[in-house]
Order: sequence, then C-alpha cells, then structure tokens
Amino acid sequence: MNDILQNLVILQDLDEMISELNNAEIITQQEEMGFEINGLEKLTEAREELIKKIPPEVFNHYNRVRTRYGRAIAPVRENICLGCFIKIPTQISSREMGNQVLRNCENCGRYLYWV
Amino acid sequence: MILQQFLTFFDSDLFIEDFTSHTKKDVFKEIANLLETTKKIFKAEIIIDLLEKREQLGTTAIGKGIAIPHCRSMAAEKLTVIVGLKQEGIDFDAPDQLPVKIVFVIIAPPQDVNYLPFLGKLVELLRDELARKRLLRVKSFKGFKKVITEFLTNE
Repeated sequence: MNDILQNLVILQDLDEMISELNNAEIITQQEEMGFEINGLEKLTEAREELIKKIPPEVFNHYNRVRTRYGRAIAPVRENICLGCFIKIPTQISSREMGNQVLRNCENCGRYLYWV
Repeated sequence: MILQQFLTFFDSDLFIEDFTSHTKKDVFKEIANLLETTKKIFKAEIIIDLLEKREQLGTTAIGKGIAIPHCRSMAAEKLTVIVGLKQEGIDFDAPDQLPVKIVFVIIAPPQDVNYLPFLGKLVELLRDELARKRLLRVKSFKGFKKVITEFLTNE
C-alpha cells in the first residue's frame, strides 16, 4: 500500500476519533460503559507527528476536501467512488493495484482507496 | 439491539482460542494480522496504529479480566468483532490491575450505526457477574456462543 495513502487513512481515522472526543454525548456514553477517556492531548500530539509524514500539498488538499465534505478519503468499490458515487475511469482490477498509488476522485477530489 | 442481531457479529473465524502473544502491543498485531488475512480490513498496520492510539486515551480494560479495545476505522468495511482468550492473562493496565483473560475488539467504519448499540449491549452482558464468570471459563467459540445465547435469552 502507498505509504502516503496509508497515513492519510490513519489521519482520517484519528480526526474522527478526535471529533468524537469533542462530542459530549459520546463521551458520556463511553464513560457510562466504564471506559476511561482522558488523553486528548496525546492524540493531538500523535496527529502532529503523523502530519510530518504527509507532504504539505497532500495535507493541504486533505484539509480542503475535509472542510467541504467532512471526510477527505473515500473507498472505491467496483470502480465507484463511494464518496460521490461517480464511476472512476480506470482499468484498476484489484485492491493491491488501486492502493499502490495516491489518486483523487476526478469529481469530488477525495483521496481514494480500494476495498 | 435484539439478540439475533447481536449474535450475528460474532464469527468463528474471528475467535482466537489462545493468543500466542503475551503483551498488549503484540495482541493488537495478532488481531490486526488475522483481520487482514481474513480480508476484513485491507491493511493490518492501520488497525494496529489506531488501537494503540485509542489506548492512549485511557485503557480499554474494564476490570475483572476483560478488555474491549474499540475504534472506528475506514479500514473496515463493516462492524467487525474479534474475541480472543488468554488463560494466563495479559497486562492491559486495567483499573483493578488484574490481567486480562478475554479481549473483545470492535472495529467499525465511520458511518456504522450498530457500533455504539453493540458496544453497549456487550458491556451490559459483561456487567452480569455470572455471565462474566462463565465467559472467562470458555475455551471454544461454541462454548462462548452458548453462554451469550443463554444469558441474553433469559433477559
């Protein structure tokens, strides 16, 4: 798998986790279930470290698309971008082939990964 | 969440009767590798990284020998649950300091609506002392599913 793509998926997951930590209802639910939630600053630090592994132009695009759509990365199934449901004009026939290179959806701009 | 739906999330292919790993870090690797091998996720390293980051928020061990590492990830196509056992226990930094003998790992894609209801139902089950004690003694997927079915049927 392309290293930048892998780091982008982790970044998106991490951003979702941080976003949940800012949702009081979710925090209350988790605490009521018995889980400790007290290390937000560690996640923020981990995010900063992760960003250093992503080229600035890619990170800037990630931020722009995330601001616009909520998520900057979308899965592809049967050559359909599951972010905007547009067919990807490509000959990619396997997950391995699709995830070797960093690609954007030509329609919505989301980074794509093949599932 | 009703019993039948709850049970559908447990899969014999994702039941580890005895972790070969002895540490939390290695358990996460073992779980993620199983998920990649069974094609439940597309890259083990993503899940390892995420589970470790989730632990930084606070341990997912809830005491009495049980841990429930859980997170949402785009690496998963649907809600996926792995159950693993370790008779001698694993140090999970549990609040009661007891070693963890049964691990439930829950991974869900960002949009999955069953994630929190499933987690809630599982915690509810594990709060029952008798259910918990019986689950801590199971050795196989068949025995595990029998205990869960019996307890939730009698609710």
